[in-house]
Amino acid sequence: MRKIGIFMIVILALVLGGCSSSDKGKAKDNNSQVDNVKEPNSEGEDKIDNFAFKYNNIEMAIDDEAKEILDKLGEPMDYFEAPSCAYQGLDRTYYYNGFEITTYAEGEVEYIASILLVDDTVTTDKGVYIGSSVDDVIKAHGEDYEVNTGQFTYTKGDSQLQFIFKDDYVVSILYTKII
Amino acid sequence: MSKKIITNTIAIIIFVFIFFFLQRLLMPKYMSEIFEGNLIEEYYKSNKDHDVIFLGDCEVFSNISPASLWEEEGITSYIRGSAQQLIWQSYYLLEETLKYEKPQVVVFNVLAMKYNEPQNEAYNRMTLDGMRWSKSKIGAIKASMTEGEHFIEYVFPILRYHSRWSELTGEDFRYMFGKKPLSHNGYLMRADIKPVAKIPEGRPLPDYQFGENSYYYLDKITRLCKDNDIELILIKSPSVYPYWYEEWDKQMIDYAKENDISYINFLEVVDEIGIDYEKDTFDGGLHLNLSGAEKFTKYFGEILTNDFGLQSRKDDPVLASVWNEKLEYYNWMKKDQMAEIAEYGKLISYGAPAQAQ
Repeated sequence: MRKIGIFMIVILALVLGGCSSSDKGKAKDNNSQVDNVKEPNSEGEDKIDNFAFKYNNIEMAIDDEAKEILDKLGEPMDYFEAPSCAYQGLDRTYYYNGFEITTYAEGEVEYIASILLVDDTVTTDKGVYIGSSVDDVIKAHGEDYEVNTGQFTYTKGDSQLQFIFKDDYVVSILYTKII
Repeated sequence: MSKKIITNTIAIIIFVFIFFFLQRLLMPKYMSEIFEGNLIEEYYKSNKDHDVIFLGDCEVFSNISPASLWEEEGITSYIRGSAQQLIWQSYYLLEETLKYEKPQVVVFNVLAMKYNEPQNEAYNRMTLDGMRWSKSKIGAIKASMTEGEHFIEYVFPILRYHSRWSELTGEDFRYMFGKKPLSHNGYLMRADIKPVAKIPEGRPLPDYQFGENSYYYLDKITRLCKDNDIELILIKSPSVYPYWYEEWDKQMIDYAKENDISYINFLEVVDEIGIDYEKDTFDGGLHLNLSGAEKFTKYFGEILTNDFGLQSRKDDPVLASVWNEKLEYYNWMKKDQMAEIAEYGKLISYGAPAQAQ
């Protein structure tokens, strides 16, 4: 009896507390905001080096806190917000001349989830723009990319830089968080 | 010897009882926010005599009102919808539903075709935890698990939710063994208004072709309906966001034609339906609000009656009694939401605060 009792107590203890370390990186409980993306860097952790886009000397990287960047950029031309299917967070999109920034929220803080370049008035840090050729992209960003149908994807830290081609010319450039 | 066996048996029973008690306690209840987590399990309490079963994501459980469909056309229906319901989940839910009842029509919202792979554990949980154990649930779990998820955690959810200890609230104790229904046959009511301010253009995609896995399960849904002599209707619900690409639409038109089934893109007839996106959505166009859902349901109800031959069953006294009770709750909630909006200028309960986060 005593052995069985001890065994059961151990099992319950393991189930209730012993697995907590395995929770890292998994989705939060469903009563909380959906989050199976990685947590933004908290203090004391090394900042992950993600892809960054620069506009008028304002640099913005994936997972950066959005507020300071949005303040520097000034009033957007347009704004759109979209709750998820079950309202687990709100994605916000800020429209600027030549690019769009989409953010995600962790609690009260917004972080940059993606930056989409929409015309040829803006370029990547290596000078690629909408209308550049496949060769231009490889020359500028190198050969360390993955190819999917009509798309090159470069990966850095927790971010990706995606180029979509049509007839061998870039039609879309997207910096995005890896989800 | 026998005393020892009895003592051990009692100990094991106590252990099992504590284990399942804790499991019930720690599982999320979805009663004060994220009501979507309750939708799947609410079905089992229904009378399971439905002419129409709707399958899909929020574009069905927010946009179609079964109570209104009964009131307008005398058609009985249930929405087996859930948040970001993936097509394999729709298939297994249909398979499971057919064990309980045989509807005349199944309606599937095709937005889910855009997802070819498992997406998100939290959404998986909202669909799968509510399913009763069956071959269908096992299939749905296996098809849905993302990297890092484990089947055993669905068998014993306590393994997944054990860390909710510190988050337990009164709600967790109150609804451990029973919950009141929050939906109206799967419809989540929202009467508040947030007009469409902007409809974003669709971002260019590298490939507009729906994935093989999506088609695999669409084929299975089609076959399951045909084998059971059920009319399958594919729809694109009239939500203006997420963006529905022309290339996607064409694929659904072609699929419907090839398989001799119906496909209706209701985005093309929003004016005819009478939807006014200034008044008929509660979140800027993703989901219809109550007035939008009632308009859409009325329009769709006429199609179901006129084009698919569904007949009013209002003359059936047993059904009429069941549905009158449902309508009473529906109308009470409608009135309650309107009163809240009138008093506070917005909805402050019914999941609205979670949306505002």
